[in-house]
Amino acid sequence: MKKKVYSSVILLSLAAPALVVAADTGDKNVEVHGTIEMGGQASSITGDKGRAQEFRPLDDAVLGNIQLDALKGTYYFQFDAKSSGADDQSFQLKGGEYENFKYKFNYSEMVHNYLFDAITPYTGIGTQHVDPVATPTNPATWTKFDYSVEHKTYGGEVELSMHSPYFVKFGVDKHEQKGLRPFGNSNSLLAEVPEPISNSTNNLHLQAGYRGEALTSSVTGTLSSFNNDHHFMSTLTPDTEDDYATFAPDNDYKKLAGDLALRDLPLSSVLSAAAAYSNLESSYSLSDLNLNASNLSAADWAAVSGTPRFNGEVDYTSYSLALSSNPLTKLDTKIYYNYLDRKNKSTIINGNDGGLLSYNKDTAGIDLGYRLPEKTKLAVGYEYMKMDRSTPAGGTDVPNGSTKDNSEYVQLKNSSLDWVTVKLRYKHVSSESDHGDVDPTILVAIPLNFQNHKSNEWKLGFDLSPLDRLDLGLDYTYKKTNYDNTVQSRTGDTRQNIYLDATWHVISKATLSGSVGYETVKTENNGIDDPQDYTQKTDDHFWSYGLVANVSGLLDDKLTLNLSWQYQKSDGEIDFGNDTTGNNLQNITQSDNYTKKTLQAKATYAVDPKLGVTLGYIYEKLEYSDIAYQNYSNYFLFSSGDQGYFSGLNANPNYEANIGYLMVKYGF
Amino acid sequence: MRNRFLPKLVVSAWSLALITMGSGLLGQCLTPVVTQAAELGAACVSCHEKPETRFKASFHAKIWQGKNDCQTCHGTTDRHEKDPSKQTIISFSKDGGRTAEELSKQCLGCHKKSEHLANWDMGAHKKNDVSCVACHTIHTPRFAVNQPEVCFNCHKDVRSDANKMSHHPIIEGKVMCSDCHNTHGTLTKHMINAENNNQLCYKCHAEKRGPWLFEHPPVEENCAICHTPHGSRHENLLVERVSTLCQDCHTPHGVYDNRSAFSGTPRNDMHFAARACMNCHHAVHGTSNFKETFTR
Repeated sequence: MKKKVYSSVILLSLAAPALVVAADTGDKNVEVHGTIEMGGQASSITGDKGRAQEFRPLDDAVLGNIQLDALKGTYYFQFDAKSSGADDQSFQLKGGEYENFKYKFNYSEMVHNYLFDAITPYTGIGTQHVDPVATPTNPATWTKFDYSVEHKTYGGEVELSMHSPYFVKFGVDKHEQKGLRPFGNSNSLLAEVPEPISNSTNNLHLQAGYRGEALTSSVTGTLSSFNNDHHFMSTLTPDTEDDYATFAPDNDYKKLAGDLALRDLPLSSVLSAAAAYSNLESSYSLSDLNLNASNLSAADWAAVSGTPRFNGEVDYTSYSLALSSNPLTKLDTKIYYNYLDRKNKSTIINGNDGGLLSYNKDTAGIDLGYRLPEKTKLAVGYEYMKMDRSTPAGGTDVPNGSTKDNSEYVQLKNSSLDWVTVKLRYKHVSSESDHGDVDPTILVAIPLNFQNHKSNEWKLGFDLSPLDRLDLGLDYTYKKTNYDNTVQSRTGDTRQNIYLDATWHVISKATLSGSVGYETVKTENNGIDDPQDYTQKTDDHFWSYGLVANVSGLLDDKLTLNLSWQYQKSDGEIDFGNDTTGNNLQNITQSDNYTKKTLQAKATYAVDPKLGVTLGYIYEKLEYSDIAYQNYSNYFLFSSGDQGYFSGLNANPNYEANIGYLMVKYGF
Repeated sequence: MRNRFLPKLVVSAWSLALITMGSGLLGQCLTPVVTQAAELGAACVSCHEKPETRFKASFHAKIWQGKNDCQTCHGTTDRHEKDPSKQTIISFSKDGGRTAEELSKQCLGCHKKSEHLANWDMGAHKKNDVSCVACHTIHTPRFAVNQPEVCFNCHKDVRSDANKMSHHPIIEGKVMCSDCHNTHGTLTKHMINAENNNQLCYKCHAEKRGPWLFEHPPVEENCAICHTPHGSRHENLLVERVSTLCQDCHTPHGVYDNRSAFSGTPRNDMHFAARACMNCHHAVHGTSNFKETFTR
């Protein structure tokens, strides 16, 4: 922590004079201005500190932000540093001359924290081999670690156009990930084990094109290479069985794409076209994954020994064409066609032929919009989609087969009253697949995306300004889907969302705004678990509301206050019925239930036009409960005799956080 | 603990060097241009002092260097000088009486050539009468749209999702709406920046690309079959809780009712406890193992 604070202080101390020097160039034709902000944050977190800081480091820290803009003639230069000194700091620099050249460079960090102080019955965490501790059934002896992944991204791009309609862009970037993520181990028992994460993705983009009044066109080439430092991990399970895990393979991705837009065609038409081809490859052998007789069981080695190298290859080819026109003054039209082909050309090996999915997808549609009297617009549209799926295994079982979707919509929008806009939309989708009818004697579910279904969706929206200083917005959606002939799996679902926003400009320097939201999802499934037949109904609800108050111009126009409160409540239930064996299935009343409350307060005082001070406070509280984590225990012996070894992930994500910060901002 | 001091210092030094280089280059290498933005809009300033002041500080004014003036965007002022109402000029105000198409036309007069706007006519925003100024504030030093707040103004469902317990780091500012969507129009559904969902997701999640020896067909077809992109009340941005999601396609190992998990009486079930199916079937995105189990 101290080193982090030192580096922040050094950065900001050096940056301040550098910016002042930059601002005082002495050249009247050079205009430099910006802000530098320095300060710090302090926090107190009880409960799950990892969850509280999932994507935002809240440790006590010295922080700094810099914004610099410099202009000379048509040349510009911008520099931004955000959260300098924190684990999510970022820097971006860009500049150039309008219609001549541009450049930008960026560096950013992000943390993804899952759980701090997790425990595991293994030693050697972070390496490719882990062993159990001496007494793995005693969690007091387990190893402590943090589930967290650090992301870093570096990149840069240069664009040249030299005041001509032609342009060239060249960009490179690199994304690195390091840390530990949850994984599993399930040879003869259930043991959560952290996966060592250390990988990088290198990308290169090259684009050349033409930008003209009537034509815009470009060709883009992309190379992307993913390199993983850990392809496998061997383990000795807590009951001393050999186990083995494999991770993401290295891969290389190549893409060539072209696009074109032709304007000023007859009937005010614009024609757009795009085509792309991409190729994705991976390649590995048994030895690359360290799979051999010494670390696999005799049965496993017998099953895989002698297997040739696997060469993974997936190609995507796509074409798109769209024509928009105004054949009549009040009529807008668009017709479009998209083709997408995916070919999985990977090595067929060890019975993997049922999963190497290839498909092609044709989509065609038309949108019409007509402006009726009284500021009313009518829009209608139709789309046809056909998707053919195939695997080398062939046959008629999933995932082979095809799906055809027909969808239509009609939308009416009226703004005849200056203070209100109303929008009503209806959409119907009918989807039919080859596998809509399944043999009920086969206890294999049909994947949801293969099931025949029909959906009806209604949307209603209002935007109102009944008073000069009052704006209201309302969105409501109702969608019901029925799945036909389902023997097992989904038979239907209903979704409703409603959101209401209000903003009231009480006076010119005070605004109150609020929002309320409610969402509900109800699903119905047939469940077949031989010999039990049952139905399963989920009933999920989500409420949220927020209030925000902004007041400026206080204390002789020097003080601005911001206050906000946000509340969320998630409530889920699962009901069961129709158990044919007489078991008394018990409904679940806690399915991803949680409440989250957030209070934010901020006061900004302008000492003078160049100097400002901001004092802020954030309070946040999360309370979560779910059936899957009740009576959680790190070591658990299930009634089936199975042993479970759990790290604590998600077991108790409740937290309460208090964060305060003070920032001083200087503008120049 | 790794020493994080050195990398941060290197980055800091790199940043300072770039600032100094950039400022120095501006000060020493560039040719001065005499015409200044202050000369713009002399006829308008007598009534519109505040907008004029803001405009002079704007990126537009400084880049144009006097080549364009207020009339470039707001149209001729002859009628407006006699009748100073918003209807006698091209006003971008909400009560200016102009359609979204008319307002966007003013911007597209210069910007239609941009490759970013090549598909403006094909996009959902134009179709739904969203003008450029619905998102962009013109009289400001920088044009960057304040994401995600501006997007949330209309996309209330996305705002709701992005604030849920499981979410992409959108509200934390680590993922921008424009990282995934081209709001200026594309030829794809939902105006995404790729030919299909999977190729979009793979840009950041390269470790999910495979190709795997054993694949999971729904994963190959569309990430959105299992995941919702902005946020979810279920972990890992899943469209349902794990146990019910998997049952949409697969026969479960039993009925996962209130008797299951750790608390089950008379039975408990490791298939429903904690991460449920993911306890064992953690390789749902595919596996490079040479034996088909998906469990490792």
